[in-house]
Amino acid sequence: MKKLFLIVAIIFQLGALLWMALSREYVVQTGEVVKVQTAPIDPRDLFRGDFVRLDYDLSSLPARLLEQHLHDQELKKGQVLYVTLQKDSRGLVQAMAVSDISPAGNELFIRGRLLRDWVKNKYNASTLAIKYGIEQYFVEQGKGIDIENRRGRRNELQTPMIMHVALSNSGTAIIKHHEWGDFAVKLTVKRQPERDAEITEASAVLQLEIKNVSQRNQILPLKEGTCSFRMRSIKSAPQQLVLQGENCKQSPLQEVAFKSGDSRTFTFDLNQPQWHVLYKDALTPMGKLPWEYRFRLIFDSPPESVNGDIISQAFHGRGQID
Amino acid sequence: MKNPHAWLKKELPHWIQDGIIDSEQAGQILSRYPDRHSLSWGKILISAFGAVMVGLGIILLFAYNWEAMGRFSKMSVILGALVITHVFAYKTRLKNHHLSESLFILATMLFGAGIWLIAQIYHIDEHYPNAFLLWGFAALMLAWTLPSLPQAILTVALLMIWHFTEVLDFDFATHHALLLILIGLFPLIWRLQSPVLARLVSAAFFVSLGLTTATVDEHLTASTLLLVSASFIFFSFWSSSQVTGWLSRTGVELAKPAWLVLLVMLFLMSFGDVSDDLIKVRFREPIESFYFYVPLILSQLLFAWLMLTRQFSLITFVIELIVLLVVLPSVFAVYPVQLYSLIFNLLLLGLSIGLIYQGSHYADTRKMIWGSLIFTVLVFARYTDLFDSLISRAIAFLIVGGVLFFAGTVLNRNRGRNRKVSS
Repeated sequence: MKKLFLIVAIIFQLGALLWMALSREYVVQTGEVVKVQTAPIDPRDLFRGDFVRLDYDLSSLPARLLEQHLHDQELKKGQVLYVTLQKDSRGLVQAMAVSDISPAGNELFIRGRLLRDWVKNKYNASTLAIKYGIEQYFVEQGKGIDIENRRGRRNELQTPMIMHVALSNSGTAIIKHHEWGDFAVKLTVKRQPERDAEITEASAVLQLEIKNVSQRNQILPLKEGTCSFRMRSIKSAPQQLVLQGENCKQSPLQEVAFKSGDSRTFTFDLNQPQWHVLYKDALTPMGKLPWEYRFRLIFDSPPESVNGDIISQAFHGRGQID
Repeated sequence: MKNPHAWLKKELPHWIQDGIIDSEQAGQILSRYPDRHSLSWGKILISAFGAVMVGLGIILLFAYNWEAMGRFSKMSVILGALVITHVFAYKTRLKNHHLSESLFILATMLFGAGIWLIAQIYHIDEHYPNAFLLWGFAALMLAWTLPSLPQAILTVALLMIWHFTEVLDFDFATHHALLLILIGLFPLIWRLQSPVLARLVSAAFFVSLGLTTATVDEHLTASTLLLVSASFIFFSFWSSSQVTGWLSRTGVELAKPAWLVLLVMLFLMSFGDVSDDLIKVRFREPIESFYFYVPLILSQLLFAWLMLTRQFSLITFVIELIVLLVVLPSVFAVYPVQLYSLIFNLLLLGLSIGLIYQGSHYADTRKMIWGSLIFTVLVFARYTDLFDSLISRAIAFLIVGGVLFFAGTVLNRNRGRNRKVSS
């Protein structure tokens, strides 16, 4: 009998490891692959060596995506949540809804856990911090620094990583591999508003540089001025934006070639009315919005030949860049 | 006597020669007292420590995460190494106990390496304390089935890391950590009959209890720890007087960390403002009542049993007094801070003087050291509270020094006398 128990204990060790590995391998082999664009930083794990910590747009979602029946509930840290995803033609995903119930049918979704308690109308209630288990990317020792260098730092050109993630039927996500975005971006403040500036001068003037960092030549369909870009609200910022004034609608498209290494800079004067935001039923300059309202500039409808979104770092209308 | 078995083995031939016993009886006597030293726990622990180091080396080796090595190769290496180590450990378990024990430890370390390796291969970023729980559980299974002290020690270490990470990184109370220690580790002390493990598991239980109660409500921690330590000490009083042999020794070993906890808590309570904050339990959640009333009932049942079996001793009543002092403010919401602070100071003072007296009178160096330590710490703690002028501070130190000097002289005299008597 003692012998039998000992054999059971040994088999437990082997079985646990095999189960851990095979259940993940099954997802890698059979799961639907989506792409998630990210920005890394570089720490080191005691037991697992170098890894890159990944932060996604999916990591902090606006609470308005919560399904109606959850709006009046208190969600506890660790609560399992299912985020319904929409995949574009390039495979990149975007969050559409958040629920505590696994979506039925053929809907694409990812399973995550709430990182901190969420209570309506309490501090930070506008944002849901969610972890999906794909926030660490392990690389050979020394390569973490390489990735960080290529990714770039604050006030430098930053190249996004595009993670290829396999999703199981139950929403479990496993990172398969990564690729680098074709375009690097650099967002800088050209002019910051004075502390007591008039409402017409309350917002910053930003400069966005985009650079083809891929080995291939790229062609981007550009409109006049800054008309090729729109503002994407993140976290709690209002959705109702006045986008691209009438002049942009009339703006003709011109195909511009970006050879490998070519770059172009765009200037955004956020004081201009086309960047004003509908806030509390009034059009408000972005510099006058609450501090937690952050935005990103995103290139509108990039061609399918470009592998990822051309998207800036998050910023506040007064010019604070995250 | 460091090794009574060796002494017995040396004496028995003389007893046979003198006609006190015959050789058959000598054999029976010798077999009655197994030579625990021949088990060479020291050697086993050193080998086990070596295996742990090798295992950590393997973990860090894989942490390098060679890109040139595919994920299936990496997994084959670690799983292959695990299987081979287990096979060798299993095969040698009857022929070479030391080697088998070390190989099983190495296998448990390889299992841990495997967990981290798979997490690395698949970039798993889930609730990482679970890895320590799984690893600890695997070690616990081997500790039970072999049975093995090094595996048991490794289990305690891994479960402690698991609980610390749950509490410190995630603020989870993790009540089941206590349940796991109670169900998985306390009975293992009985199975392995190891005083080292008894002390270690008892200490782990107090640390876990402190972590859990602090996460539930920090006001609960002091009361719970005091009530549980009182229960352990009452149990040791009962076990040392009612039963003989191993259970009696275990009771004493289990109570050693409890004594330390009791002393630390008493010391903290001797500061009025600290105890005012620590002692009042609020009972907002049922779990707070659970952690307060269960140890309270347990301690009172054990105290009642000690009284019924007429085991009266001064220290039993002192500990019961401490229990009552802890219970009163929480239950009746009455807490005269200054009076309590004074009582806790007097208790510590009495305890230290009692230990110094017993240590010097009965030539017990350990009691003497503990008594002196508590006395000195207490005087230093009250240094700024009570003594305003340099003269009173100087007098306090002169008295402390004088008491310790006198006690040391008595201790030396009595030890010398004891040596003469024994020679």
